[in-house]
Amino acid sequence: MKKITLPSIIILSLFLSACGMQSIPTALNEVEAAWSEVLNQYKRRSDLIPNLVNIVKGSAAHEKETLTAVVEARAKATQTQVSADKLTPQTLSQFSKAQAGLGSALSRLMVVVERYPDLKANQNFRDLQVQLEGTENRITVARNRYIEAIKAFNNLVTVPPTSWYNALFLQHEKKPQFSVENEATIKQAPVIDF
Amino acid sequence: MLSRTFLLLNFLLLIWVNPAYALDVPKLTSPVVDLANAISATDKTKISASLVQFQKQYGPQLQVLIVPSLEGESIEGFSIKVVDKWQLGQKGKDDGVLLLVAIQDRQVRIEVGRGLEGDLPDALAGRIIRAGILPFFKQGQTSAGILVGLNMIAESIGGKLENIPQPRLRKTQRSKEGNLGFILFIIFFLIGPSLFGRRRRGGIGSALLSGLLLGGMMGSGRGGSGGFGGGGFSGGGGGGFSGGGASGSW
Repeated sequence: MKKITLPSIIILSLFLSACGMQSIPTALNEVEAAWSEVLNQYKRRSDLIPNLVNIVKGSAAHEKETLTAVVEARAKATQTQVSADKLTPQTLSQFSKAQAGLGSALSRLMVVVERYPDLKANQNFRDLQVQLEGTENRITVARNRYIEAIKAFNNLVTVPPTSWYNALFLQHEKKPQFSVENEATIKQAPVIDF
Repeated sequence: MLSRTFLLLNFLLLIWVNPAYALDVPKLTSPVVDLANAISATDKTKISASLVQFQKQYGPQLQVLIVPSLEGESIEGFSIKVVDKWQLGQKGKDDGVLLLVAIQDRQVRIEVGRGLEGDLPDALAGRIIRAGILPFFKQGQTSAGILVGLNMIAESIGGKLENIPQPRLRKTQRSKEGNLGFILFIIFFLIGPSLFGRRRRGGIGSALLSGLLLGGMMGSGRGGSGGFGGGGFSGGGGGGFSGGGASGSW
């Protein structure tokens, strides 16, 4: 009897490790970490905004409208928070929309600012500009890593043999993937009128 | 039948020989990977030795990559691809820095490892590019710009590059030498302290000294001592990056 159980335990454990008992939870952890990084970088951007608004206000007081738009978009973006276990297509798209709103308000501000040479010559402003660019770049990197982590996780829960294990024991759903931020505008083909 | 196989083989060979348009990450062969031949061979060996020694002495891994063209890719996108593959810096410490220059695109980027983002934040990286590197690149002095940039990066992370060649001007630009010497002097004398003065003890003094030294060297126009310090180059150590740093264009 003993002679049969030991090899069978080894075979069983090999089978289990190949079928998702280890890989699915690992991938889930990767997804959670990648999502935290996304949140972290968006928070970093929103933390920069008070300084940016203050410094722009000093030199370009006329641009009140653009500044208010940034502050409002920031408030909206900080309200929309999603934790990793509550990621669904709906919550993710809400989150993306709020952040995209802040992104476009910010880029409008940076365009407006081009008209103020004093501001552009200001060392603090240029530092802030670099920091903002750096943060946008970090957001891109974090989003790409999230996309990769989600891809790995979704493959595990949908592609056999790991999907069988998932269906039997874990029952994880597929996680939502990031889409392009301005999907609606891209979907519409540009109209050319002669 | 045979001819068909032969044709197919030829075709495959053709595909294999013609590289794809997308810019691939080059091999990490030395601390200075110069695909555009922008730096002279002697300078390359000296800088490499100095960077290897710096890593031995202080820990962080500094790396230079010069490409002729980005082939349409953004410098940030290419840069993160490179460091993800090369994994500069030590695993766990994530202390790698990449100085990436794209000659034809006239763009430069300092990519900072996760562990050095405190010592070398984006704003400081941006200042190093604006005040240290770009003035030289604008004059076509690629080698000098890279040397000044490396020195400033090393200083910001609390170290010093030993036996690195002095920023030297190419012979074609000899008439502007005095002018550039003056710029160098200004950078280290006036801008240097504002960059590092508040951050490190004795910052002003050392920046002043390096300014004087460099300014003096520029006048005489000759490089410093040889001295090959480092031996083996071990490649990347598993360091992680998350997109920190700054870019600039000239």
